[in-house]
Amino acid sequence: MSDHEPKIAALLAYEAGELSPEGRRRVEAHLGTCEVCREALASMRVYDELVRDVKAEPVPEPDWSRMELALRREARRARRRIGPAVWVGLAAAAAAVLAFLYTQRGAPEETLVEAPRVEPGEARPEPARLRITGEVTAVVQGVSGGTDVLDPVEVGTPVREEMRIATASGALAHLRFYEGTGVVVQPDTLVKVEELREGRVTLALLEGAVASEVTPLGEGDRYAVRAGDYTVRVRGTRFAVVHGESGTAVTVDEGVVEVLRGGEVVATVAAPGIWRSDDDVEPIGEGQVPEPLALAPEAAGWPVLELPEIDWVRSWQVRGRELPPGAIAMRVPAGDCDVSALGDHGRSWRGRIVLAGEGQLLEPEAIRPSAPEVRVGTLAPALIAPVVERGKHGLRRCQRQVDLETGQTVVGQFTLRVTIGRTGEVQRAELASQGEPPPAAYRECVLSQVGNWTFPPPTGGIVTFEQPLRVGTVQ
Amino acid sequence: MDGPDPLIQRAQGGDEAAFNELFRRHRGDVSRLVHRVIGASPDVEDVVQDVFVHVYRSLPRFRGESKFSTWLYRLTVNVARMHLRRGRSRPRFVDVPVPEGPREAEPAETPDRAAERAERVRALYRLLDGLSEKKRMVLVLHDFEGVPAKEIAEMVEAPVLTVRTRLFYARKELYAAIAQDPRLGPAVQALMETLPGKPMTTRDGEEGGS
Repeated sequence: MSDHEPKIAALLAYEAGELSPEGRRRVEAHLGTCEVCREALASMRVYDELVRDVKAEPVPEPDWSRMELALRREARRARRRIGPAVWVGLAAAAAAVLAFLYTQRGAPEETLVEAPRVEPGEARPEPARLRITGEVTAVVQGVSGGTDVLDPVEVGTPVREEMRIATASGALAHLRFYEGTGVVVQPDTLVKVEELREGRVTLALLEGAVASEVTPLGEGDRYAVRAGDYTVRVRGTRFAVVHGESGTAVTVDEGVVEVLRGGEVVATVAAPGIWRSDDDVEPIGEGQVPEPLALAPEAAGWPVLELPEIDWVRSWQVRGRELPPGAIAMRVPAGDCDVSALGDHGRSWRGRIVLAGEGQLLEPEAIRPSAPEVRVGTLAPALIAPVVERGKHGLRRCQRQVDLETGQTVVGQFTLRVTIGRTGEVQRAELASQGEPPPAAYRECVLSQVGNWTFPPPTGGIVTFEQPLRVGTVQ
Repeated sequence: MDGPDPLIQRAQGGDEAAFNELFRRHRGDVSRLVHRVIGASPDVEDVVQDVFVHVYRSLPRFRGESKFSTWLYRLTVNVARMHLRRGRSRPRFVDVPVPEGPREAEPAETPDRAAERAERVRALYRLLDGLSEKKRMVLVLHDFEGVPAKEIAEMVEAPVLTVRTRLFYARKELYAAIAQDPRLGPAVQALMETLPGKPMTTRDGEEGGS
């Protein structure tokens, strides 16, 4: 049952009253047998309530007078540094002013906020297709490139027409072609940049997978990935192409792409969607097309953060973005940068690095895992009991569900052992038995129910308690 | 706010009084949008201030090709995004206290109900932290602020279809997260009992059709 994906689109249509009487009847019949969809529908209704709550929340009135003062200060500062007439259009000067402002406030800014573009999209002059140069913005592990794929590829390596890029197993490369457009070259991939010109990008995917993000294109512009006999063409989207011996597959997470063969459109894939040439080819999952890093125009000037390869690290997190383990080099905005390393069994490391100039290498010695911290606290049984009591209804439902689904009658005396975390959430739950172990489906259901219980937060640390369960003698 | 608004032109020419008037006209909308994007937080005020500092700096480059309000919303969204990005790189699981102060709750509402609602909203914002930035922006603008998809597309510089896709996925992820959330999940469980087509659990039914 848990493999079933909730039919969100059908449920939304059902909620909006857009279905025919027959359609409604079918959805209701399905709801009668599908817990996943019942839960999804209930969640949708709870979400609608929450939206009403959000809208009803009063917005606190800021202290406008303080803000007016700050804006006056800003105006004075701007006058001192540069006259308003000269200042128009000088992005570099604006960046300097911004840097100055944040220095004054003692909070280092990491990146300049992009001012909205004001050029009308349609009025773009049609220029000669000049060659452009992109840049490698991040690499994980070994990546090589060049026309013969022998040169090491690093952050800052220019990306030009005719360049080939090869990634080893476990390696990745993020490339920026121009503002808002770039690609993640996935592990075990060989790709050639066939065309890299203003408004024209063509990649030839020889093997492996690439995930592209493409800013909306102008009239006559083109972004395409060729993979074997197929060409995948887009106008502005996020999509991934996988190509290998078994065929070609396309996953579209945003926008629409066209798949062509011999100049003919063989498929139009709209997000969320997957197309594959053969059943054997394994596409990148829906919603899992990765976003290339550092596509902002100013990213070329950002410092490079380098992280070493460390055996206990299972994943990195840099500025909230999860990255695979291994030696990483990536462009990040100057200023404070928070980095976390996550290992097994709750081991982790967290640090803040101030990035400036060319960048910084984080030494392996600086990254020591913390031991999982466990402190035992207290929580009065009188505060535990009502939560368990309320939860028993769900446990009885597990029993009925297993009866119905497997025909097995659950009977026995079990012990439920629950660990309550610091905020009252269930950190761990186990179901032990003195005799026959409980059926797996029952155990899974109970633990999933218990995982949703919430207790009052214990004092001083985590708390573990045991609750006997007698099943089979009560209805 | 459309076309060549003389007030905007004066502000662009460096007239401080005109800029102050623009600030007074739009500060309420900006403040509400920031609040909706980042949630109840003591940082709202700083973010609103940053927005107007950026407006001050970018205004000379505004040429009136889009509505001023769209341009301002886009800038607000960008500044709020930068704020969220900074927040994401800090350790989270912090429950942000709601700032105290005079609150104009509706007269019919008891303090208990208002506190309960605020708690539900806080739980929802914790879940929003799990969404990607792009999805979060589209969801907030569309569902909380009621901005039509076409206008959002202009603000985030993406095709309307992309906006719709992001909205669909954002909601889908949220529905799943709500059901699993310790604070909001019980409401889902309770509601499941009342839905149409509730299965009869006491006798053998037909087999599942999914």
